[in-house]
Amino acid sequence: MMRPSTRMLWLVCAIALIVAVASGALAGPSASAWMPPGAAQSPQPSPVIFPSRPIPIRFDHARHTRMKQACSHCHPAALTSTRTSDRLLPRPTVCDACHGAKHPESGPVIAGATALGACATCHEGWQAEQPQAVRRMQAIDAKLRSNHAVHARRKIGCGQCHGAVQQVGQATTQNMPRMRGCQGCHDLPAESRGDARSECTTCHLQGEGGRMQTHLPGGVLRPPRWLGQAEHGADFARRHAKVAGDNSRLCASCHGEDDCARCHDGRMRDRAVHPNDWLSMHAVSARQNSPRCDACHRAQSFCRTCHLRAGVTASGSSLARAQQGRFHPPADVFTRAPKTARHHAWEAQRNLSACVSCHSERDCAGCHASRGGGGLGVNPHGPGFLSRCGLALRRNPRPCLVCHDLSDPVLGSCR
Amino acid sequence: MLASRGLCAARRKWAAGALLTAPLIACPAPSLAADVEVSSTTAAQGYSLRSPYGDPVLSRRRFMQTLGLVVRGIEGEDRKPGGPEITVRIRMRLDADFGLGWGEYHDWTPPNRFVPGLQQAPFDLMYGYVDMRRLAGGVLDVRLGRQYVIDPLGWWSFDGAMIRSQLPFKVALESYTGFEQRGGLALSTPRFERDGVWRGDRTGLEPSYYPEFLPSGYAPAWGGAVETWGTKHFNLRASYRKVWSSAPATTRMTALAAGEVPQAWTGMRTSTERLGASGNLYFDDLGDLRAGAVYDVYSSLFSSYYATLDLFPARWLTVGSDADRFVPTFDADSIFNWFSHYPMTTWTGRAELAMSRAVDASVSGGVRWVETSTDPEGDDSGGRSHLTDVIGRAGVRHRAGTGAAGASAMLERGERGHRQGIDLFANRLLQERWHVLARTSLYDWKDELRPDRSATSFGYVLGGGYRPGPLTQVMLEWEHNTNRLVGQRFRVMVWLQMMVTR
Repeated sequence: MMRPSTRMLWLVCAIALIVAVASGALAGPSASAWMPPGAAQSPQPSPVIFPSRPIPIRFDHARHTRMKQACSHCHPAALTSTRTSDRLLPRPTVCDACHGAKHPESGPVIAGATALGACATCHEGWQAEQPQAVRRMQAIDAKLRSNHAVHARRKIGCGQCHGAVQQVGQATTQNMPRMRGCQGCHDLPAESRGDARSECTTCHLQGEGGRMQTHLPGGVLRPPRWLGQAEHGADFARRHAKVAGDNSRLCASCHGEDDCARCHDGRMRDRAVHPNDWLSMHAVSARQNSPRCDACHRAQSFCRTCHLRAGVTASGSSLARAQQGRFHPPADVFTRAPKTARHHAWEAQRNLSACVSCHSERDCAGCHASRGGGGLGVNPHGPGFLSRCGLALRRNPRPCLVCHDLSDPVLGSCR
Repeated sequence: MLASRGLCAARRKWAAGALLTAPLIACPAPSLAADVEVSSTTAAQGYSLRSPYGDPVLSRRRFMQTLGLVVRGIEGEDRKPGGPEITVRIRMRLDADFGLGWGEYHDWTPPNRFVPGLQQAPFDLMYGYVDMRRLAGGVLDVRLGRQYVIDPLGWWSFDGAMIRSQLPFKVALESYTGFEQRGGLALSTPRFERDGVWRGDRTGLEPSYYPEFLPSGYAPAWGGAVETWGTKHFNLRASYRKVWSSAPATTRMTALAAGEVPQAWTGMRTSTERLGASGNLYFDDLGDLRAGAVYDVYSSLFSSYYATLDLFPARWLTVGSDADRFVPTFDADSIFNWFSHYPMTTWTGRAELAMSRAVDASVSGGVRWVETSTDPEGDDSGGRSHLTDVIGRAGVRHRAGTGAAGASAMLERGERGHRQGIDLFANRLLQERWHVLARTSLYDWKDELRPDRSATSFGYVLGGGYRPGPLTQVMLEWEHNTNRLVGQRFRVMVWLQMMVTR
């Protein structure tokens, strides 16, 4: 039988082990020194921007660099390219000069005389039975606007965007730029960055309405965590209001008014927010005010109109209310004195917005207006009211006059 | 007679709408080398809604269509990167319910089902503005027309002009003036007014009929903001907004004698006046602190404040905590501001796990408490009492390419009832043409104030769609929910999205 302290020690160790294993499993590949700038934040480049392609060529960048080959020897077009769609991969004839093979424009390819010039040296999967058949090399179809020439003119070296390619064997999408690395220049103050503008569409494709195109064939682009803590994780729908309220211009990079209106105008129900039979469930939710009803609905318009039609109001048309039973708990519990734990005064104090979704001012004034103002004089004002009512009366006397006659001496204490 | 007056008013509104929007639509001259996008969304749905008392049963036959226009590059052929940019954006909406009975919106002869302000096919201009950016050497932005504002004070809309200027020292100033969008006015909805009063078009209604339904009128507004821009580790924003009401508002509305005309308060008066601020402090590999507050100047109280702390212990893990305190405040015309009420406070802790690019998950839990004075009509000398709800959420999602699948679960329990349930969902675009979706959910809720309205409900949604092109999609959805309250509830929905570009 283990002692409690020993058991606790085992438990702590087990938790630590699980966290350590999970950290290793979830962390994924970590950034290496040869990776481009920004890889510390994003070890993997975005597969949506840089869709992965099979690379059927064996090419060892490190080995070629050791032989004093400059990047421009194989990629001369990179110095003048202005579009992402430009082909920057070397033509096979560039290889022929050293490897001894011959890749004519037309006609069969002739292998070199030495092992260096053998087809299988470079072409993965080459088979002697079909010597002229090799797998085609496909350039990465980057979903970006990239102008190599502009960068070259600014004397920006290849490694500043692609990392230390000279240290790797085969270059992969891992050598493609990371957004955080781009921002090293593009996010500098205007006076320092020159023409390296920081708008999203400087690099990203432009989509609907001139905004950034986020829906691409490989998936949907979403902001990383380091960009204003706007990572669209599984919980983002619940916390996005604070991000948007603080920096709505960041949201506007990708989202237009329609994206906000889709939910916040309260016309079309989003099942992620209002699941299942929401019409039956919403009363409990409204009392909990979760999610916040006023984020999308105006209670006295949206809610009350429907409640009037359904006869779920204290006042309203006679036919709609013809079958009306009692909505709230019995009057002895909910309305009349003495107050019970379920009295409406308590419910109103807890969440007045829920009351406003059914009741109009007239429903409440019937009892809460002063006796001279057409009510029963049940005072609804809370503590501290007298300290605030004077300023409010001067700015807008209308609510006071709903319950108090203009000559009511009580108003004098607010004047 | 009254009905015909109502019809005339509706015609006048349509005419005014046409007059307002025609120049905007006519703006892009064909000779300009501008990019034009015309888009449309159509959604039709049918379902029934039964009153908790069994009758009436409302038949919803909803048809909503929006039509949008974006014209970019009006500045001309010689546009330069970083130079001035002029864009026109317009979207109009028809939101009809053909299930409405004629008597619900036209016939107020007793006995009736008439609901003031209800329209069968309201038509509104969601937004329509000219956006001029980077004027005056790139430091000035101007926007004219109906537009949205999103700031710490919430989501709001007005008709008018906004000017924004990026000043040196990473500070931007924003100022706007115009009229708040209000229900009952031409091409407008009440969505953006502060709550607490019932307003709309009273044309044709007798003054003593529904005196609490206040006439709508123009609401002058102005506001501004100061914010930082281009800063690396923080962002601050402070906003101010004031709106006035101008239309007469009924005052005494109870104990009226037969035929007595209710008194009304006329003249310009405060509708809302609020000041909000929010800030964000961020460090790459450490975390993020966000906080904000809104002060209601009219009610002389902080109507909300919040703070959020996020820590990044690992690249795949974010742990955070949110605190939020909220007191409802209303339009200054409303009596509800002055009814005793207390804040609602929520505190949660959460963790978000980005397990891979494709899989993420979140879990959160916390408490929410609502407050009351021990004696609602007393002087609060007895101190406040609290009711606490326990809340929890969890979700996991797999997103790959053009598809997603996942599950989410929630729980909210307290003395006033509970809600708890789980949703499973999946959607995918197949061969870039066919869209399929499925969702199923099981929820249980209990209303302690009305136990007869408690239920356990199962529901599912099946949908399929087709994309003839990248900018066009048609979708059909079938929803079925079953529980003891409604028996079976069905909803059919058809979507059509289209876009044409030039």
